[in-house]
Amino acid sequence: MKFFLSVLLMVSSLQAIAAIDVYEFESPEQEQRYRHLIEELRCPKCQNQNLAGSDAGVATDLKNRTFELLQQGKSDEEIRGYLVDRYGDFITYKPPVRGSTLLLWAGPFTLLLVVAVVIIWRVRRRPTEHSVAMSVEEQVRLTRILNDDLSSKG
Amino acid sequence: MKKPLRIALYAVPLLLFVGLAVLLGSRLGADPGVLPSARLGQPMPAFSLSSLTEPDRLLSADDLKGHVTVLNVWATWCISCQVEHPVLMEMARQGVRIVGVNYKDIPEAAVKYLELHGNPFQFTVVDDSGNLGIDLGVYGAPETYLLDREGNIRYRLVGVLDLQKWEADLKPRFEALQAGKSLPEETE
Repeated sequence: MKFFLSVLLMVSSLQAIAAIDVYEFESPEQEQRYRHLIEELRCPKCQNQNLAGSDAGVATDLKNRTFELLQQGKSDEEIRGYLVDRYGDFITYKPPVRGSTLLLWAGPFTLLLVVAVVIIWRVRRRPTEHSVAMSVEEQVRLTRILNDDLSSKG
Repeated sequence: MKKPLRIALYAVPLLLFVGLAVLLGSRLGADPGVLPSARLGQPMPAFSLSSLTEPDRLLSADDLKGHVTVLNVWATWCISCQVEHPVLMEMARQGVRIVGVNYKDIPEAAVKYLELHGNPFQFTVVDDSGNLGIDLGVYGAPETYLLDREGNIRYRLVGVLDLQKWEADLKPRFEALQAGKSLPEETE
């Protein structure tokens, strides 16, 4: 009976361990870094999900690997590099700046600059285009018309 | 407004549009799920894993050297792998050296599977943890790699390998490597 009980206890405790599959972090900072990394890293199987948001098998594996690498004392940069070596730039939502990614990084700013230049240029031109100075004759005529108008009413 | 400026005002958006259209059009019809391999041109990652059919035998990347090899990542849980299995059998019949990587599978189930459907593999590496998969950059079985004699990864095909892909994509490269000819450089 004692034997049976101890076996039962052992089995039940094993199940308790199996139910907890969360990571045990060494420090809150490490957990913070982990959360940050899996937010920034992209699931290679899914089109638009990060590792944090994906339940795909490979995402789980990569989350485990990220955790293991953190435990080994690797820096964020090293972990990022480790995964980019294997999965390419696709794996990160922050690809490094280089020739093939230049359009991605510089494109929006270039577009903004072009639009800004066009707008500034157009706004500056407008006054000179529309304000035409009156000649002396026109000034005199305008005053006369205005005065006539006032006197006829008054 | 001066004439050249007026032309520029219309030409710039037009050029931007054409540029964007070409850029986006070049990806039209391509499967966005297919990623370029980051491992092209690099040696097969090191591993030390047991053989599926001879569990006592340890296999390493050195076992892949010396021959032009097709490396196929498969599993019994992967339906697409069952679809492509007859193609692998046909390739083996043609004398292609195929090595299997049994990816995150139950070895007993995998052995049974090969008994049932036939075994096209020279040998099969058991990657039950998926570690070799991560080193290779596998993101979904089946994946098929082409290795040259020196054990460098020269080509990768993601998804079902059908006869058409074998004839059009893989076979010419396989034969070129066998003849010692250089492949056109695979780029991203």
